[in-house]
Amino acid sequence: MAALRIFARGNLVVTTTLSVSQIQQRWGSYKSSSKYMTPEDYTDYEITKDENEWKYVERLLPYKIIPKPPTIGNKFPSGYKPASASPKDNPYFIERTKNYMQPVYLYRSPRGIKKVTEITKIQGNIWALEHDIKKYVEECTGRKIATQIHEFAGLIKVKGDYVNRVKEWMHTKGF
Amino acid sequence: MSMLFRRIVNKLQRATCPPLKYCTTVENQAKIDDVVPIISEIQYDDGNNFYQKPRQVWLENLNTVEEKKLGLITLHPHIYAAAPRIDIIHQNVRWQRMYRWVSYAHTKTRAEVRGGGRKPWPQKGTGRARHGSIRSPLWRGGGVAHGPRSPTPHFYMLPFYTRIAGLTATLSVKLAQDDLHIVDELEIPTSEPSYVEQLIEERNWGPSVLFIDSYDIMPTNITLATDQIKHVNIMPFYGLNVYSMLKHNTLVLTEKAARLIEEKLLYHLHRADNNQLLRPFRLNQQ
Repeated sequence: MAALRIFARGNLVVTTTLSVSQIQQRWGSYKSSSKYMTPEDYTDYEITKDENEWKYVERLLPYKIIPKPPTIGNKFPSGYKPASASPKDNPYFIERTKNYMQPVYLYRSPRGIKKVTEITKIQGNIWALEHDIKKYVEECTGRKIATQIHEFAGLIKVKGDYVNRVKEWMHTKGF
Repeated sequence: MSMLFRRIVNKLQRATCPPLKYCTTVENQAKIDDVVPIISEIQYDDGNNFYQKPRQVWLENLNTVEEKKLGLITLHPHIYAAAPRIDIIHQNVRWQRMYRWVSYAHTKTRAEVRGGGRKPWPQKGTGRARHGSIRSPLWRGGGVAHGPRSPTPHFYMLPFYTRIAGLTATLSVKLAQDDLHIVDELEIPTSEPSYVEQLIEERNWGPSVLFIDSYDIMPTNITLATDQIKHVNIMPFYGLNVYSMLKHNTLVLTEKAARLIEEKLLYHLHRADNNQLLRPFRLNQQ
């Protein structure tokens, strides 16, 4: 038994001296692991100069700018409708956001009691636009609604949650 | 009586002066036959979606003191005809003044004023008010409570898209007020400061002018000519900012710089990676 113990101790001594002679490395970070010097050992690849294959690479690259939505007439499962109105069709115009969505938002007060619908990116006659929206929403809901116009910044605030009503109206106008 | 007479004479003198020119859109009197007009029509990708018309601006020259109209160029309405949001412009100007301001006002607290370690008189029995230190803020010569401490930085960052909106609003305001001019290049024939002064006088560009080029190495002549005039400055396009645009009466862009500014701002208004871009500035960091 004692011999075994001495043998084990001796072995331990040998291993510790070995580890001391090495420089300590932390393998915890991906940066500290050694680099693959010969990729041929790991992956099989070939270099191609074929231009027709570039499109398969291109579609993997991230977009530089937000791509345009599909053209008018397509039906989408999400219910998305692209803008169809020209800026000169009406005395007013609501521009789409940079993501080609309708700029209608719901803002809620911190405890969620007060709800305000906000329509932004309005150009042209904002007073006529407010009149038309108000008429449509009041007819739909049978309730009087309160609105606030910020002409300088081109936005309208509607008291209450009428986001979907306003979006419906905008679809009828093609915004 | 003599006062009255003098006033009348003064008024008459003023009346004989030639009428002042207030605007550079007055029709060009000098007929230039040798210039073939350059008309750059640009078809923008989102051209059928503009409420504002694309802006048409005269292309001018700098190589003569008299103004020659070399042609017309078209500019994107989302950059050069944006809404004049003076609130956003003000936010930008305030940010530019604040982020570089470090306040060095300093006062000493009661701990830093010399002395005052011992109780001036016993708590009870003297008939005087109780005090623990002669450097208390209540005392004359005592420390200051809640005084300014040096250095106080006022650095903060304006949201990225507020900065972009500030640039478009200011460029649009400058163009609408006829304070934005576009020239073909910044080459001038001499390196004399008087040439630039005459040119500015002739074209009613106001005392201070900011020239913007597309690259940071400018032509030699304009560099030498504007070096000694403190209110005429030159700047590369990437240095363009709201504060400098408002600081100078007139903004002069080269055509290439105007295009680069337009291109860069349009990219920021349509870039797809804005989620990634704004991640470091989010308050709810994961």
